[in-house]
Amino acid sequence: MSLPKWLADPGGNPSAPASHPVRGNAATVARKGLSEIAKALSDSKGRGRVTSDDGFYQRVDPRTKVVLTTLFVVASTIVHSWLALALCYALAVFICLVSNLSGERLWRVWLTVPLFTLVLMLPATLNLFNPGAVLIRLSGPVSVGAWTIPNGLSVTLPGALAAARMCLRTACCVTFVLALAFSTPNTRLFKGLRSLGVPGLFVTVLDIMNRYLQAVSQTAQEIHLAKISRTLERSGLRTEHEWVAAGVGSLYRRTLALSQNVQWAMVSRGYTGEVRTHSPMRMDTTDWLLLIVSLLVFGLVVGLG
Amino acid sequence: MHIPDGYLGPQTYLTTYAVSIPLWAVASAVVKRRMPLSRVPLLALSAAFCFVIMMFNVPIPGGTSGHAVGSVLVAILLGPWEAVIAVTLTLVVQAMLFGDGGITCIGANSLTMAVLMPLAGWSVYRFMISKGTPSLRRQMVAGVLAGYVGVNVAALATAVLLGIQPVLCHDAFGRPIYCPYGVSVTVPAMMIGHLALIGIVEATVTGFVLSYLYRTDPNLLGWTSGTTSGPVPPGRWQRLAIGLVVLVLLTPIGLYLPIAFHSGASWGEWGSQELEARVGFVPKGLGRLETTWRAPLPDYSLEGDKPSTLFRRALTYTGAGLLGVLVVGSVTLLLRRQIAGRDPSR
Repeated sequence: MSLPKWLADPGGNPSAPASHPVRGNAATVARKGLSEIAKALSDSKGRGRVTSDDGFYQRVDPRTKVVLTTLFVVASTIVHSWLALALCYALAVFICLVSNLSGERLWRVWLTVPLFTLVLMLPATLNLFNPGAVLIRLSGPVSVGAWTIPNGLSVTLPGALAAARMCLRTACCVTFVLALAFSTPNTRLFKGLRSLGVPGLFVTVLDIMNRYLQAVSQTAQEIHLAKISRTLERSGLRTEHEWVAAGVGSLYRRTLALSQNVQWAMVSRGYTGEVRTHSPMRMDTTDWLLLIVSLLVFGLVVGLG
Repeated sequence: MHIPDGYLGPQTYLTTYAVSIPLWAVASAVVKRRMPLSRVPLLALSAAFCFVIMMFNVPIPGGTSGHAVGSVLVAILLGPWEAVIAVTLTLVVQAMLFGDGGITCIGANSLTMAVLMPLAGWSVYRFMISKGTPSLRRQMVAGVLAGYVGVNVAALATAVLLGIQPVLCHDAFGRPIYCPYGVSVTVPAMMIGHLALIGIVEATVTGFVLSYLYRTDPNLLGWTSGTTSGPVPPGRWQRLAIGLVVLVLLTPIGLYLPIAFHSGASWGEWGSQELEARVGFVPKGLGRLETTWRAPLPDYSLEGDKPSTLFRRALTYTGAGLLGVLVVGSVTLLLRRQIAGRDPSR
């Protein structure tokens, strides 16, 4: 079931059909929740589906990709030189480009995380945290009660460099992770994790969770839709809290019922608790070559410091 | 509260992995023992439930709204170790597929949100309803307190992990390489928001959902062996008492070891005389405040600073340990009785 745009919009829409009269803060909160679930549902539909089948990284064995991603995410967090970080970032972007990775969700995460870091790092650019050569003077001496900054507030060069380095570091990590997530179907990714030694219980639970996440999200969406379609006027805070409780409680009961059904279905197919997977994954020459090159580049990046 | 990659240095994230991995192993072993493997779907769908409840917006006074993490609720409904696994897997999916929280920080995020938060919240909840079936009101109060404490413990741990980065990881000029803010910034920055707003959201969701389930289907609150309401089996009290007595009897080791290794008082626990011998003077304020309160058993002994034989000191040390256990135990029991006494169903 897909939501009409006007219903998924948290701000509401004046042109909403009259059959859905929604007023007051209560409905806005429910709408906000509904909008987020709708976004998660569309994400979960897109998740596990690679953005393009025709790309370099899509053809690489998931195990190689997991090792490569781990190596370079770790490298991005341990190196400090600009050259090493720039090399890591260039490699991540290169992988995305040659693999035709794109899409709204990729851009959303790819841009949001470094931007979020930039916002968090803004105070660190000030002389309060990183004194040094002044780049931009923001104010003269500041005095608030007993608290004074005689030199005033200014953006400093060490502060700006520290913030820029953090943003680049975060961007590197996010790009590598997104390249892995957007080029590998989830089932293959989980099989890859299993063959890399991650315990079977974790991988199985992860796999089932991922498979039924959409069903649980859909139930949550129905709960929100039911609320919005029955909201005629503003209700009190306590009523709203009771609705959230009833919604979460009802979701929990339906989740239990669903898990029971899934369990019966699995047992009926012969599941006894032992995880058996048919893994057609095979590392070919390209995978081994990529792994060796990755190790060499990792050594180079770490060597650059 | 999800720490992204790049905010924690390798010293911190490797340590958090080193702490988390054994905890995951324990959780996995406990869950396997408690829950037959054929019920793996329950665990998986609980993780999915955990993921989805983060999308429920909760209105807060003032016209705004926020999300709950839900770890404490899952711990109370499924059991603390089940919550460790379910929330950890949710964090893994969020990090690997949504870029929410870093891969290198899965250990740290799991430690705060999947271990500390559910265990702290669950402990508060268990303490509040430790005997018999609680009333609706007590169930709600227990849930509210558990949610509030759980999320704030997690926030504090996150703030500390971020705040220690400038001390642990800095360049040759002393400039921070990872998170640039010290604990003096991270703790207030995290805690003001969590104590004032996010804690209320978590408390509301946990308390209201528990009271809703209590009213509509109370069996759901006691379906796992770890979370069933009822008195603690007598065997557990005996084991606890024996453990405490053994620990009290071992306390003289604390007297013997400093003598064997020729060490002084613990760092930062010096008296004015020892401090004077170390730095050459006694700070004025310290000298004044030192005499404000005269403890009845100074240094856990009857003699205080006066010379005495090791055997006699060991005896008084053990006695002081026993006294401490009795006082703390009595106060705890009194408090519990007070709380239980107000409950009309008891």
